[in-house]
This record gives sequence, C-alpha cells and structure tokens, in this order.
Amino acid sequence: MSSDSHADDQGHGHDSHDAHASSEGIPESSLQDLILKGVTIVAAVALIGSGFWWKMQPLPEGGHEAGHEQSHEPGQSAGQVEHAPAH
Amino acid sequence: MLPLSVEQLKWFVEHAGLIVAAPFLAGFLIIMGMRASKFLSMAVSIGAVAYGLFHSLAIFQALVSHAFPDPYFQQNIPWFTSSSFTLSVGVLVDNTAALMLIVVTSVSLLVQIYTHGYMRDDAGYSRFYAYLSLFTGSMLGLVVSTNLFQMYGFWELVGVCSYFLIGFWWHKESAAKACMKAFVVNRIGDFGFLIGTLTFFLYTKDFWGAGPVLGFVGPNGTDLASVIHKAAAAGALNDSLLCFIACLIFMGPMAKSAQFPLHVWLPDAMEGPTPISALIHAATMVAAGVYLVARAYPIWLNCDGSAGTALTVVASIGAITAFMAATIAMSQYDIKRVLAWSTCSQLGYMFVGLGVGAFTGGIFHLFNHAFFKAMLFLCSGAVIHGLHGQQDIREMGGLKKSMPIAHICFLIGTLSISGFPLFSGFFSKDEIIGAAMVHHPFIGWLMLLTAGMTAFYMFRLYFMTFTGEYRGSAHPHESSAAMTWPLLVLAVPSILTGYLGFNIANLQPALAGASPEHGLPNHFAAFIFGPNGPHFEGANVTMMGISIAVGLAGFFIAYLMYLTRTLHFNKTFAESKEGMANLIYNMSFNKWYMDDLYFGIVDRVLLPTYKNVWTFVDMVIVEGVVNGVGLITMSIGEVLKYLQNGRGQYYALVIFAAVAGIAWISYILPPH
Repeated sequence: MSSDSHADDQGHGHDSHDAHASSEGIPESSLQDLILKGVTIVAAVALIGSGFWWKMQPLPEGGHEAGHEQSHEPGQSAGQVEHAPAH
Repeated sequence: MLPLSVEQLKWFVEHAGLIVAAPFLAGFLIIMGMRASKFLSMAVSIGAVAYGLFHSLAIFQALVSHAFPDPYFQQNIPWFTSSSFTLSVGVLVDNTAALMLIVVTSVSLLVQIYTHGYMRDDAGYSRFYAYLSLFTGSMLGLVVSTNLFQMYGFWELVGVCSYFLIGFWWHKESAAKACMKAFVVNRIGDFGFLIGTLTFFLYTKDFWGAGPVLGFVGPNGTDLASVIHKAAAAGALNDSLLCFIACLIFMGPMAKSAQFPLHVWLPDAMEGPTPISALIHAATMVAAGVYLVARAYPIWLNCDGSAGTALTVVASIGAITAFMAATIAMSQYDIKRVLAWSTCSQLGYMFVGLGVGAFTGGIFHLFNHAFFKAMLFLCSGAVIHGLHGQQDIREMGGLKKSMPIAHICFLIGTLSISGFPLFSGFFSKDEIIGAAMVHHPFIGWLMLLTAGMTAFYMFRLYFMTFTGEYRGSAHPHESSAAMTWPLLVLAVPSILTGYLGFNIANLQPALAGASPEHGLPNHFAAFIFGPNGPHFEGANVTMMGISIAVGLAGFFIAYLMYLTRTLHFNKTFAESKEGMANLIYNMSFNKWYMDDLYFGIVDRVLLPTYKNVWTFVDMVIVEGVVNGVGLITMSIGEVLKYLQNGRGQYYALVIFAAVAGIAWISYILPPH
C-alpha cells in the first residue's frame, strides 16, 4: 500500500529552502482562514453566477450544416477558415 | 454579470496576458524571499489566481455578450528572427481559450484555498504555493499560446512544475521515483511532439505569409487549416505526410494526458500531496493534451479538412485507454489510485470524442470532468487527512457519519462521473458515446461497456469508503472549513454544468420520435462554434436509455457486492488461484503488467544494450582516440628527436635543401 505521507511529514522541513520558512503550524481559527472563507464565497458567487448568467443568454436561432466558421482578426476584413469536425 | 462597461470588458480581453503574468510573478516573489512568511506566500499566490479568475470571467462575459465583437483577439511579438522566418510569442483569446481560462483559474483557486487547510502544518507550505503558482501560470500560458512553438515551451514548463510537485516530498523514495517516472515518460511524448512540430514546420514554412509561424489562427488565410490547404495545393504536403506528423505530435498528448501506452506515470503521480493530484488530474497537465488536439485540430484532419486516419488513431488510443483504465480501477484499493485510473479512463473518453467528430462533446467532457474530478480528489484528500494518512479503502468504511460534507460531495462526484441522469457527466459522456456509435460502432459499444464499468468501480469506491462499518483504527473527523468549503463550491458545477451543453427543447421532439441528427443549439456548442457553426444534434433518447441502463447495471452490481454483500463475484475473482477468473483478476490488479513490461524492457534490454554501447564508445572509441593520439605523438617525437643533433653543417644543409626545394617548386608551378 502506498501512503500519502502528509501525516508523517507535518512540521518537518526536509529541504534547506524550507528551513528559511516558519515551521510553525497555522491554527485553524486564524485570520487567514477567515479571509479564505471570504475569498471562497466571492469566487463561488462569481463562478456559479456566471454560469447562470450564461444560461440566461439567448441562443442563436438555429444551426447550419457542418462546414466552416468564419473568423477574423481585429481590424482584418478577410476571414480565416476554422474547420468544424468533418464527420 | 460583472458590473463592467463595454470598454472595460474590451480592456480585459486585450490584456489577457496579465492572467498568465500574475501567477508567474507570485511564484517568483515567493521564491525570491516571501517564503519566509507563510501568510504572505499564501496571500500572494491565492491573490494572483483569484485575479486570474476575475479576469477570465470578464473575458468570458465580453465574448458571450459580444462586447468584444471579434471572434478572437491575438497579439504577437517577435521572439526569434532568422532570414526566412520569425517565431513569435503572444496571447490568443477565443471562446475555447476563454472557457479553459475559467476552468484552470477556478479549479486552481479552490485547490489553493484547500491547500491552506491540507498543508498548514507542513514546513514546505510556502514552497508548495510557489510551485502551485508556477504550475498554474504555465498551464495558463499554454492555454493562450498563439502557435505550436510557444505551446511547446509552456508544455515543457508544465512538465517541469509537475516534476517538482509530484516529488514535493522528495525524501520519500517512492515520490522521488514517481516524479522521475513522470518526467521520463513525458520526455518520450514531448520528443514526438517536438519532432512532429519541426517536421510540420519544415513542410509548411513557405506558406505562413504575414501570420504567426505555426499559428492556430491568423489573418488572410494564415491559420493552421488554411496553411495546410495551401501546402497541399502546392504539393508540399499530402494526407499521408500530414497523418505521420499528426501521429508524431499526438505522442505529446498521449504522454501528457496519460494515454496508452504512455499512461504509466499518472497513477504513480499520486505520491504528490493530494491538492496537486487534484490540480494535475482536473484542470492542468492532463487537460493540456486534450486542449492541444482541440486547438490544432486541422492537423488531425486530412488536407482537405475531412476526417482521416489520424483521427481514427486518436479515437482508438482513447478507447483502449478508457477501457484498460476502467478494468484496472475495478480492483485497486488505494483511494487516490482508483481516482487516478478513472482520470485515465475519462481522458480516453475525451480523445474518443475528438476522434469520432464529437468535437464539442470532447471539450464539454473536459469542462465537466475538471470540476467533478477536482472535487473527488479533494474529497479523497479530506478522507486521507481525516484518517491520518490512511489511503487503503479496506481500512475505511462508514465515513459518511464522521465526514458528512466529504461524503455528500463524493457522492455527487460519483454520480456525475458515472453518467447518472441529470448530473454533468451524463450529458457529455452521452454525446461522446452517441457520436462513437454512429462513426465507429465498435468503439461506441466499448465506451458503453466502459460507462458501466465506471459506475461499478466508482460506486465500489463510494460504498467501501463511506458506507457500512468503519474498519480502521484511526479517529475519523471532518476537515476544517478551508478544506470543506472548496468541496461545496465544486459540487455546484459538478451537478449543473451539464445543462450548459443540453437544450431541453430537444427532448420533446426526440420523445415524439424525431431523428437526433438535427436539433436546436445549446449554449456550450453555440459558444464553441459560434452561430454559423456546424449543425447541432438533437437528443438521442435511445442512446440515453441504453446509457442509463448500463450505468444502473454497474451501480447495482457494486451495490450487491459492496453494500448488501449478497453477490460474491468479487471474492470469486480475488480468491481464485487458477483459470480465467485468476487471469482476469491478476491482469486488472497488476495494471495489465505494463509497468512490469516496461521495467523488464528497461532492465533486460535497454540498460544492458546501453552498457554495451557505453563500454564500446568509452573504452574503444574515446580511450582509443586519446591513447592513439598520445602514441602517435610519442612515436613522431622519437623519430624527430634525431634531427636535433647540434651540428651547424647539418642545419645549413637542411636550410639549403629547403631553399632549393622551394625554388624548384616555384619553378614547376604554372605562372598565374
């Protein structure tokens, strides 16, 4: 059985680079946790809200036969041809 | 959605490079000194990726609302200039890239928040955040790459960062070996990618005009597809050559996205901390291969844009991997390794989708899979954390009481990946299987069988972990909010994203017997292809029904075996000592002996051959040349030393002979 060594390695620096860092654990009720809860809520609202907003957007009228999609660079009038799956 | 004006939205599109720059800057700041403070390391890393998510959502809003009216934005700067061509680097933002930016930044943000809870007592906390930032930045750079060369550069950076992260606990021998294995296997794939790209460049170098060399899109017919058409029309490229190039380049995605036979590194990558397993398996690294095939899709077509052999190769490799990984996942006992094999299998589905022409189906499954797989891995991390490092599901059981949040989120992920109706995986997997049935029926049936196996091994994992009685000796407990809140956030898209690729208006005509060949568009496909894109398919209720039945069959077998324990096929197979049952079980448990095969080849063929070649080159050629030069010099010296005899008459004779010789040569040479 392989094991995730998370539990074994807590609090032990194995890299000289890590020796510069504080080896103290962060308490679970720290300010960082509070800030992260706020970030999580904001991210959730933004992400899920964007999904619902997208679903509310009108769909194009209908589809066309498989073929090409015209696309062009800003400021260019000529198009590039992007192929749809050809099946 | 975001309260931004049209001008502001345009600004975000035109400055998309900041999304890539922010995590790189964060990573360098941490490495250069901020690592002394855990708080600063975490804050700058999470701040950078949070900014990236906000910026990505603004770009997405600009493209959906047409505040940015063009189909894509591209900006290039010269990177390397020669007399005949210029390689450039830049930023390309289109609809596909916009979706990937959201996937990468959102999953990375939630993984980084989770990391704070998971690694809070680890001395390498700051270093881990530095690596996470660089890894995220590399993947984002890959997503917005404008050409194959640039993508290759970020592709390698992703590989290097994954090496650091898989081997994060490098003092463990297994972790050190796992990161080395990942690195070596990926080098094999990357070699093919590089050679394929250079070959493609060799045959198309005269056709890029003013556009970016090897660019995905470009003005005036300098995009990938148009250049292939022009090269073919000029006789520089043909279908066979393009197929060969496509297969070479496909070696890169095969390694990066862990496809047969270059899949062996992925399960071993579980030696890294669980947050990085979630990131690798969901939004970064493995997604890169699928994204490359989607981004450079014309390379996998024939020169005229029709489907060719290369696409069949993509679909076949995907199908083999999906089936093989599912058979292996059914007998594993390590919670993370079961999920790792499920990733291999689901990536196989994505390649099948791209290979059989379900282009949006493949990308849609990548999109859905990113959320539910990240959640499943983070749930497994919460379980491991709550059991103080235990990963063996035989030592688990009954955890739904002590870990209710991890339990409910894991169940949602299981339902989604199993293709249970109304969950996200159902819609994308169904689309892929439906397309495979039409174009490659054998692959279609194989994928259907694999769907049933997926439901079986995922519910086996769920039942053994969360139901019944606890079989271990630890004291299970729910994790802190920093670890459980990201799970709850990921649970929402794990259920709902499927509806973005499904138009419910297609259901009614399908139930009335309408053909599924044509239907109304859905948001996902319409966004990927635009309003003038390919035809949109309707709902295929027959396929849905079969798919649901197969999934339910997998669920019920797992239910009878691992919950009610009234069916004992598993014991029959596991305890059999001979015959077909023993063979099948051992094949599954020993991962089709692929590791044994590779290590056998390396140990018994490659290393002895290498040693012989080394001995010959070093002992015969190198030492032979060095010793030979010394011997010759010594021999010449032995002869010439007699010329240095100290007699004046002898030296005068030599000078006279030399002058006479020069005079004679001057005489016989023709005058100019």
